[in-house]
Amino acid sequence: MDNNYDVIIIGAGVAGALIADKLSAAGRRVLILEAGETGRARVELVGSYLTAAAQTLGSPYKVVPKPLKNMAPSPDGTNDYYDQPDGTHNPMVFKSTYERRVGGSTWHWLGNCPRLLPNDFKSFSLYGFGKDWPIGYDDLEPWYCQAEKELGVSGDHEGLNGLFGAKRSAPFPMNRIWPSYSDLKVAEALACSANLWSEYNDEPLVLLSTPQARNSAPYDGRPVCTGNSSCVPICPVGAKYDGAVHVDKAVANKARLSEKSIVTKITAAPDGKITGVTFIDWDGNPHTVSARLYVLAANAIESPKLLLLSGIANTSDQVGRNLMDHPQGEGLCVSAEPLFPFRGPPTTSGIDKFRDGAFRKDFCAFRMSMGNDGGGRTQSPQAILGQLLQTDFGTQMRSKLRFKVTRQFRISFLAEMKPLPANRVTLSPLLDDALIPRPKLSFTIDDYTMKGFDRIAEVMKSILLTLGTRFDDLVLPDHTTPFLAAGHIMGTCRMGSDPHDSVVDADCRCHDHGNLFIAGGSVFPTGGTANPTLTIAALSLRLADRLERELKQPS
Amino acid sequence: MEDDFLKLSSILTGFEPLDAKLGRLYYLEVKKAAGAQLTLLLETYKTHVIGQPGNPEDLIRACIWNVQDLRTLSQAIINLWYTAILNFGAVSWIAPPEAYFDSLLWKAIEAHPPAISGGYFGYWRYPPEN
Ligand SMILES: Cc1cc2nc3c(=O)[nH]c(=O)nc-3n(C[C@H](O)[C@H](O)[C@H](O)COP(=O)(O)OP(=O)(O)OC[C@H]3O[C@@H](n4cnc5c(N)ncnc54)[C@H](O)[C@@H]3O)c2cc1C
Ligand code: SF4
Repeated sequence: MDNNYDVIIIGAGVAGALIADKLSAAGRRVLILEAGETGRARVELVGSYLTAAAQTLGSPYKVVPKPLKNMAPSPDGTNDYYDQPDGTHNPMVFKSTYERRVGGSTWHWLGNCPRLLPNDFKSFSLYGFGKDWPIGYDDLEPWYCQAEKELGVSGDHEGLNGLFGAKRSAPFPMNRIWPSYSDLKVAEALACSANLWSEYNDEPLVLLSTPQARNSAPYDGRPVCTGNSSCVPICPVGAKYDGAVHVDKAVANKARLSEKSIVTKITAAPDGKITGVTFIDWDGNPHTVSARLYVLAANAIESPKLLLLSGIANTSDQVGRNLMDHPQGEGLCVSAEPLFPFRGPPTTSGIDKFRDGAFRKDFCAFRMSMGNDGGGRTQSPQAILGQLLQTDFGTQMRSKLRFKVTRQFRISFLAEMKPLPANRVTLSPLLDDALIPRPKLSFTIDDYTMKGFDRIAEVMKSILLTLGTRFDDLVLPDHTTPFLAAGHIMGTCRMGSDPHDSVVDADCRCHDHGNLFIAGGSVFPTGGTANPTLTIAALSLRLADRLERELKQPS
Repeated sequence: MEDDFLKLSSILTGFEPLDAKLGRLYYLEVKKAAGAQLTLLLETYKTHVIGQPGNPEDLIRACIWNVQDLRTLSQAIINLWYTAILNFGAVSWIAPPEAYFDSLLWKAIEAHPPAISGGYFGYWRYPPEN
């Protein structure tokens, strides 16, 4: 492999792919090293999903035929890859997973694309927790607009412009995804129930269209969403964005994609300059490559793992710390009227009202999303069928099934958690098939978020009651319920202006290594209540711009 | 036997008519999994339900649903038609994707199986047509 690269990018997820596309479009020589494979075509992945015995997030993506050694394993549960306490007995474990393949974890993401709010960047100075970002909303705003264009986000510009001070300088590239029938019914019910939330202020709650990377019109050569409702774990038609879109663009621009290439070490000279990276292919052969600049974009678990393995970038002792997710939970009810779930995308609207406010001094902010998927992750229609079959069959069973499932309604919340130094990724003594240490995870959620769970349950309850549900049919989360994972892995190489307590600077450049940059959720000092990928994309586009400027300087 | 399987399936599932091709596939699979049990189930159905006076669902409740073994098999058959998965005894069989597309669970709730298009962009804004 030649070494004449301007930039080597580690990881072909959305973060790495966007940077590869921008730099290769500018004529830069780019090498992408990706641990996973391109793998089978979308239609075959869908086939595997349909016929999987257990339809997990990972079920479309297993390598076929099953290799003797799984060289780039992806977690598909709490303990199959991560080294941490057993998740079946211990609710306080890290539950989010990722996909190691070309295109990365956006293959199985949902596609929700809200922006962070201006105050999310200042949580320490405003609310006394976490750490302020070294950049603010205004620094990122133009990049948010560009990220929405690159990913193809459908959204309601008027509805969201100015949300908690978040000005939008450009409309979304596509109109919003249409709300579901159930969204319209819920909005109607809420409009008649002002004053229920007077603690926060007494305006009625409104549903806002969730911005989402899913086409409301043909866009960027990809088709319109036709409501297949299987976005997680796979969109059968490609109406939902995934990172492979920009990998393909980068390759068309002559970037070199080296798949099945697992980076095992980044080497630094005594002066801090990175001199090369070592990777092994799926046959176990080692290779070394070098470039002028390096971008680590392997996600917020694999990136810190690789830095720890390499023994670099860690004079602050912050590498791997402050691991965050957005703890989630669901509330369910059986509405008085049918809402007809399982038609269209799994969620199309949300409630943004609780994403900011003075209460953040005491407990966590949260965003709620309205489900179009019946009992969500708590109660599947198959489970309801199973229950009914205990007593009923025939037309009676059929009509009871219809009655319950068409009326089932789910609200989820996604909560902010504090960055805690003890929540961290370290190296496990356990090795994977490629003989690389697996990530060892320590994770807990503190009272700040737990306290919020109870408040969230109160809000959920009042919303669900507007739908005329019976008390018996209410299922509510509280601080005793195990939380669910969002898949939003953040915080393990945080950005900051002080090299003593952060890993990268405001430009995502490692304090310790002038030619090494980090892209992805790992650089987030705090997580706010926005699903992270749009912010990851905005930061990546901004980083690509910085890299291009740097490459214009003589080396 | 195959015909009786389809007719009985129809009453058990509450759907009429059922797809005969799928019925054949399912009949063969259930036969593999349940053998003599299936014969007994279909014999019971033939003797006590077909041509007998009264509502077939009531007759089935009396002679099949209230008999533990026959009920277990009937539950597995209903589940198969509804989800395209057969779980009976030690057998766990997943039908090919075409069967999943036709699984009755989604029809019963007026939706469509996930991963298959429900129609045009935005159809989810309206209630189902029937
Ligand atoms: C179920 C689920 C739903 C989600 N829904 C949403 C949502 O609605 N909205 C949202 O914003 N986010 C969502 N997410 C999160 C989203 O998927 C991630 O934020 C996003 O994919 C991160 O992109 P990335 O490029 O940083 O990392 P990844 O997509 O994980 O890509 C990293 C890449 O690096 C590669 N890599 C790792 N280690 C190495 C190595 N040693 N050498 C070479 N390559 C390596 C990996 O193989 C991978 O391809 C969801 C996640 C899950 C699991
Ligand atoms: S609803 Fe269906 S078509 Fe639309 S993005 Fe999701 S999987 Fe793709």
